[in-house]
Amino acid sequence: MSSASAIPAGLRARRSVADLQWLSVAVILLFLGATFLAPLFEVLALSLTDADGTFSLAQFRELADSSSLRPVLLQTTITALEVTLACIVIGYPAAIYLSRLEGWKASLTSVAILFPFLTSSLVRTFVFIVLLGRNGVLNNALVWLGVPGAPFKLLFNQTGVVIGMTYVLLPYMLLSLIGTMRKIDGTLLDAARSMGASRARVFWTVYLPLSLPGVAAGAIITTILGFGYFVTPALMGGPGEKMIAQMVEQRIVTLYDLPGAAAISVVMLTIVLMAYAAAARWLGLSRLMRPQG
Amino acid sequence: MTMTSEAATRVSNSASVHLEAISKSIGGTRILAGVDLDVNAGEFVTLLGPSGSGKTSTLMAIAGFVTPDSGRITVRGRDVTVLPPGRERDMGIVFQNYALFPHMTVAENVAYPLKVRRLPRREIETRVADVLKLVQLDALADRKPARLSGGQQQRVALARALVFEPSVLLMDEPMGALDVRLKEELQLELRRLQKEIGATVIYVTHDQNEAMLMSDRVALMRDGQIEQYGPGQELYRHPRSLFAARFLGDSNLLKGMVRDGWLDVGGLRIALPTGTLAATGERQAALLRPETLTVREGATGALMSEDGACLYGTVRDAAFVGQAMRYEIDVPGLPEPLLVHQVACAAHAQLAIGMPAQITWDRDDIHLIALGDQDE
Ligand SMILES: Nc1ncnc2c1ncn2[C@@H]1O[C@H](COP(=O)(O)OP(=O)(O)OP(=O)(O)O)[C@@H](O)[C@H]1O
Ligand SMILES: [Mg+2]
Repeated sequence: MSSASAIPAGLRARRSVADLQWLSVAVILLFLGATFLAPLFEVLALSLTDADGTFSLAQFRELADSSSLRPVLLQTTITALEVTLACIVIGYPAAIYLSRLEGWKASLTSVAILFPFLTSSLVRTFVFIVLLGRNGVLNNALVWLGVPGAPFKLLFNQTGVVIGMTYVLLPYMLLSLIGTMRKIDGTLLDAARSMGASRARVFWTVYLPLSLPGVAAGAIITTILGFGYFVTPALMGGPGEKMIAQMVEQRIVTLYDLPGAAAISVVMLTIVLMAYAAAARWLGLSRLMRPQG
Repeated sequence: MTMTSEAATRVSNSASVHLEAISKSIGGTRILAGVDLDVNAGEFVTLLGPSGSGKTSTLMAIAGFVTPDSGRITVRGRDVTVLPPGRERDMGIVFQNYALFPHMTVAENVAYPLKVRRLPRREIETRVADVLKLVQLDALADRKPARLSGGQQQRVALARALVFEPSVLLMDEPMGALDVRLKEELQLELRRLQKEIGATVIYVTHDQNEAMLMSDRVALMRDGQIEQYGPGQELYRHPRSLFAARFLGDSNLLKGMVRDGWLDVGGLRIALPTGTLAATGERQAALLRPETLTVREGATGALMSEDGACLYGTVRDAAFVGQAMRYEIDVPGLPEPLLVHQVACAAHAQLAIGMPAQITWDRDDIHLIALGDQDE
C-alpha cells in the first residue's frame, strides 16, 4: 500500500467511494441485525423457555403431541401449493405474451405488474371481497350470463383464500417468468423450426425446458410467501380453514401464549428454510443447463 | 477431419438454388434491392460483403425467415418464395451463434432433426454416431454445449445441419467467433467435407480470404445488391468496379483518361494491356495489384520510361511482413503512394526508406476498370 499522498486524485476519489460503500454495507448489516435477526433470536429464545424463564422443550413437545398443529400445517401447505399452481397456470401464458413486448409496452407491463405492491394488501383484499361476494360484480355477471349454479360461494372458504392469494402472489410469478423468458434466445426457436419442428414441438422441446428455471424460481417464491400468508386467509377464508399464520395470531391475541406462538413460528421458519435449501440446490443444478455467460 | 467411407453422410439430394430479383424493405429501408443469384447443385457459393450489405438478409430469405416483398426463390426448380421454414423447405442452417440447444447434449442436439422426422430410434442412433464421427466429436457426444470450445460447438452445429441430409446447407459466418489457427483448420475441413458429400452450400462471410479459399463462386454484395458474381480468382483479377477491386485484396488504382492508346494518369503515361480496345476520352482506372509490381533501386531524378510499364519514386515506407516486403512508394504525380508486395528473397535487394525506387510491371498484369459518372 502506498501512502495517501502518492495516490493520484482520481484513485483517491475512487477509494473514498469504496469506503462509502463499506460504510453503507455496514449500516445495512446493522439495520438488518437490529430489526430482523435480534427479534428472530428473541422468538427462538421465547420458544425454548417455560413460564419461569428457564430452558425447556415443553413448547415443542406440546406441539408434537397436540392434534391441532398437524391439520393446520397440512392445510397451509395445500393452500400454498394450490396458489402456486394457480399462479403457474395463469401466469405462464400471460408471461409468454408479456415477455415478447418491446419498448414502451414492456415498460408499461413492468409498472403494471409492480403497481399492486404500492397499495396495501389489506385494501386489495377488501376490493376482492366486494368483487367476489354473493352480490359482487363477478357473481352478478355470472347470473346475468345464466351460468348454471351461479351465484357461487367464492368467499369465506378455501376457494376465496386461493383466489385472493393468487391475486396477491401472481406478480412475483410473472416477474420471475418474464425475466427468464426474455432471456431465451430467439434463434434457438428459429433453428428448431428450420429443422422441421412444428410450433407445438418447438414449444415442448425448446421453449418450455428453457423457461423451467423461471417457473421453479417463481414457484419457490409463491410457495414460501403463500405458506406464511396471513391477511388474505384471515379476511377471505372461512372459519374452518385456518392457515398457520392465523394460528400464530390466535395464540398471541386470543390466548396470550407467546412461547407457544414462538414455537409455531420456529417450526414454520424451519420448514421454509428446508424447502428453500432443497429448491436452491435443485435450481443450482438446473442453472447448468443454461448457456454460459 | 479424416473421412472414412462408412462415416461419410452423403447428401445425395443436393439441389440447385435460384434467386430472381429478390427485394425486401423493412420499416421504409430497402435492405435487399433486387438480388439475383444462381447456385448449382453441389456448388459452394459465398456471399461476401461489408457489414450491412444484406448477406444475412439474403441467407434468411433463402431459409424462409425473411419473406421477400418481390422476386422469386426456387430450389431444384420449385418455387419456395413464401414457403415457411421447416421440413418442406429442407435446408440445414448453421447460425452465426450456432444456436445449439443448451439443455440438450451434443448427441441430443444432433438427433433433434431426426426425431422431428420420427425416424426409428435405431436409425437415429446410427446416423448420429456416424455424423459425430465425421466431425470427430464422437468422444463428446454426452457433453452439454456450454462445456465445449468454440470450434467444437461449430462442429456440432455443422453435424446437426448435415445429419438430416438437407438439399441445401446455409451458413452465416460460422467461423466468426474463432481464432485464426482454428479458423484455417476448420475452413479446410469444411471444404473437404463439402466436396466429399457433394452438398450445395451457401456461405456468408465478410472475410475475403475465407471466401476465396472455400468457394467455387463468390457473390460480392453491396447495399442489398450483388455487385459481382464469379469464381474468386475472377473477382480478384477482373473486378468490374472500384468497390470490388478495393474490397478483395490490396490494390493500386490509377485513375486517368485514355489518350492515343495510353492511359494518361495526371501526365504519367501507362501502357494499356495488349489488345485493349479503349477509345480516346474514356475514363478508366488501371488496377495494379501490389504483388505484380517489382521494385528496385532507381536513378534519382528519373521520371518515366518509354514503355509505359515503369514508374520512378521514393521509398516512403518499408516493412517486413513475413513472406514479403511491403513498400509504399511516393510517385510524383500520383495522389497516393503505390503499394508493392515483393517476396523477400535473395533475388530482390531490400530498399530502405528514402531511397529512390524504380517500379516495373508487365503491362498484361494491368486490369482496366471503366469509371462511371459517380466515380470521381
Ligand atoms: N429486422 C430488421 N429491421 C430493420 N432493418 C434491418 C433488419 N434486419 C436487417 N436490417 C438492415 O438491413 C441491412 C442488411 O442487414 P444484414 O443483416 O443482411 O447485413 P449483413 O450483410 O449480414 O451484415 P453483417 O456483416 O454486419 O452481418 C442493414 O442495414 C440492417 O441494418
Ligand atoms: Mg450478417
